[in-house]
Amino acid sequence: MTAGRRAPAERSDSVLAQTDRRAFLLASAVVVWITVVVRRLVQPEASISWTYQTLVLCLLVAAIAGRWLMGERASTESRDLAWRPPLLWGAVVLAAILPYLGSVGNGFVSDDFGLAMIARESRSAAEAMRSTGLIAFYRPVTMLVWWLGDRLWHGAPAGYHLLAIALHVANSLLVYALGRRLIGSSYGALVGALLFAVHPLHVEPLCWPAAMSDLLCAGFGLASLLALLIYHTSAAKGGRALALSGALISFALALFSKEVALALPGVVVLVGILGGQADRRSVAVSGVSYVVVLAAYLWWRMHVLGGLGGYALPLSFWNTVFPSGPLLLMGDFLFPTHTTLLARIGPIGWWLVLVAMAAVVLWLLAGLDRVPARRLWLWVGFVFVLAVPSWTFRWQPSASFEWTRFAYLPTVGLAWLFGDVCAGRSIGWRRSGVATGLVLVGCSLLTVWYVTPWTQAGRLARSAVQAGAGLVRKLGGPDHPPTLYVRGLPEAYQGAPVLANCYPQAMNLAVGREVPVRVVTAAPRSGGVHPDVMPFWKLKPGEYLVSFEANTGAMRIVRSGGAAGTRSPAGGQR
Amino acid sequence: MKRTSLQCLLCVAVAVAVAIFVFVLLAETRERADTFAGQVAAGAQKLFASGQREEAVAALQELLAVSPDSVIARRELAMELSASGQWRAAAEQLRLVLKTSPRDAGAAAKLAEVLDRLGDLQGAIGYARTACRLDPENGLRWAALSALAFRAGEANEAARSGQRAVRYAQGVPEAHIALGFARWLDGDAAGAARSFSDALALDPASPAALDALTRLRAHPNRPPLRRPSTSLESAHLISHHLESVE
Repeated sequence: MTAGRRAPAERSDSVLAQTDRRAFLLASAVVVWITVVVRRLVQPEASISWTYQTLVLCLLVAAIAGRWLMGERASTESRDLAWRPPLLWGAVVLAAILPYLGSVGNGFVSDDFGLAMIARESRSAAEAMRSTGLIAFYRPVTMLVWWLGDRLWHGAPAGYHLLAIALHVANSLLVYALGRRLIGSSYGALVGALLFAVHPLHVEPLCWPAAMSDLLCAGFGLASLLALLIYHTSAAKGGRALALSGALISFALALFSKEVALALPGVVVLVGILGGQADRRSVAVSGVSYVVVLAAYLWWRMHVLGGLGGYALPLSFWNTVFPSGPLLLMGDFLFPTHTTLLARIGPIGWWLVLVAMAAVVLWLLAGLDRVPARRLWLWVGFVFVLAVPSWTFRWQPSASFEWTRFAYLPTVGLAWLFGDVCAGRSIGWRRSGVATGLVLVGCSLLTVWYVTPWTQAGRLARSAVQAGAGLVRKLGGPDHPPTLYVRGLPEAYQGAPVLANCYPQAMNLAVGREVPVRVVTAAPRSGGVHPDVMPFWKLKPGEYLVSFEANTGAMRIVRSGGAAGTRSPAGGQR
Repeated sequence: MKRTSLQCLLCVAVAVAVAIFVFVLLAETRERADTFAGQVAAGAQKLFASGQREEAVAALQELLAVSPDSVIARRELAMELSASGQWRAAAEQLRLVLKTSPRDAGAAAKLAEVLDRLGDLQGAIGYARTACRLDPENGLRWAALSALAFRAGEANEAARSGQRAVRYAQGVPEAHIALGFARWLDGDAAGAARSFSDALALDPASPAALDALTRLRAHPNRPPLRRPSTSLESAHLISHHLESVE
């Protein structure tokens, strides 16, 4: 503040502070409101979708300016709950399990079939771990889990769904344990962990077994950070060495689960500098150790894949996504609006949800002055650093929550930020507790609702696979399976993938042997046939163009390769 | 940072947000207009299908007079003009469509066909290339490009496009025929015969493949090309651009 305005010292400062606070709240209210209205208006397919991340950027700029104007009112008092640890842990476990109970019977969709097929075909765990997945990925830990699932519960989808929930429980507990150390308040840590557990942004990795790599990566990454904090704070030399070894092993396992962990060394440095618990030497030692492990991982990956692998991305792609990844992630976390689903509750319900979300965000912004600047930078830095690898994975703006699996680990920072603000507000903690409780209940309800498209997607995938398998058994004999050209397969249902990929593998799994299947789709796909081309395609005997009808769940033969191609259901002879 | 600077920063954030809001509202209005245009275009399609061509064109022109930015209406108008044989008007409309909607592979392919009808073979090849770039998994687009390149005597491009046509449309006889002609142009008579046979295996009654094989036997070294003509709808018409065997 300017010195000239300070004349009657205390009173003037107080008035100015109040004015600044009001100005900030008014400005942020305008930006928040515009953001939610635009979120309501912009459709996922619209070419103006860049507007959304720009608005989140405006919100971030306003928050930084406002926090600076308001100054810091963080209290040094400890805000611990008088709850016993089993109660705290139990609350987190229940919050992580309950919203996802409906997903256990969901079945497989899309890439799940491909991964299940790889696991089924691998003769040993080592062979599964050597697999490069559906495209050039190297995730041996994830593939080992798929292989174990095939051997332990015969690849039943429910087993993978239960495992995903178990991993989410473990991750939520790790968020609590880490938050307890970083925020220094069991109340703040609990709120952060609960929000992480119930946040609707995490529906995709929980409901899609193929995205289990995100859960594994987050679990090992958070465990690595916990071990690192123990290393920073432990006094015993042996204990420190053990903690650092554990941190590095966990980091390596995170890298072998998914590439998102590539950014973890950046977070390690951030936690070392801003966590306030480490001396410079410890930060340097841990930072260098992580970089060495990272270098070793990259060398091994290149050795196995013959290159870095992953999606082949043109340079121009980097220009388009570079600044927007973390902003989209933050925007989705603050306004978790599943446009397709919310459109079903009518305009009044829509607006009520938006008003509630806007109120929560304003409440969060108004409490930023309760968080020490050091921790504020730590939370925001956590999100931005961990969002870096997700930029390479074609994260696109979407109002139907596609690709949000990449947000699973980075949003831990935002959950802690929320917990930290709640802990700062908890002087009158009953009132703050009621508001926090409402937010958590609202998030849980949204999560339960957002799981429903995945249930429907699983049903659609199952009926398409069963109908296709039935047709194969009817049309072909054991030695002469018919060739199917399948059109009308649902690619996605309200943001949840159905059979965007891997229908041939799903058919192989269902029939129990290799079935020649080609999917008719305009999307670039190996072995696919463009729908414009199909009308000119001459079918040979034994080849069928079939169409899946989602409404009835039936597979209809559109045309076949001439009369000679019609096989008798019994003998399979022409 | 000074207090005034921070207040300015707040104001900038609000101003940008308001500007975006106004932009989105305008875009939304345009989108609603597009929805209306889509309905008119669908109506015009029905009129056209029922033989009321002039009424269909008139309805679309009326809509374009009110809403000249409507890509949907303009695209439909271009397609209907093209179907009525009004090549110049169709080309003009398609160029306007591609100006506002440069990623429309269908419009690019149609413009290639229309330009070919107008005798601008090089222009047609350019737009056929664009269509292939925008819709690379569509084998018919590659077959059309291969056919155009063949007629322009560009052996390399014809062969490359023909191979892609077969890759993405291996069950379509025309793709094999296009590749066969490209191989023939390249002096590979055996390869051409193989491609024409592949086409015949897919469609034993294919007149284009039978005709091409007959011509290949008569001129095994190089195809006797006529001057570029103005009729090409798809790859199977390629043989019409060869001199008669007799």
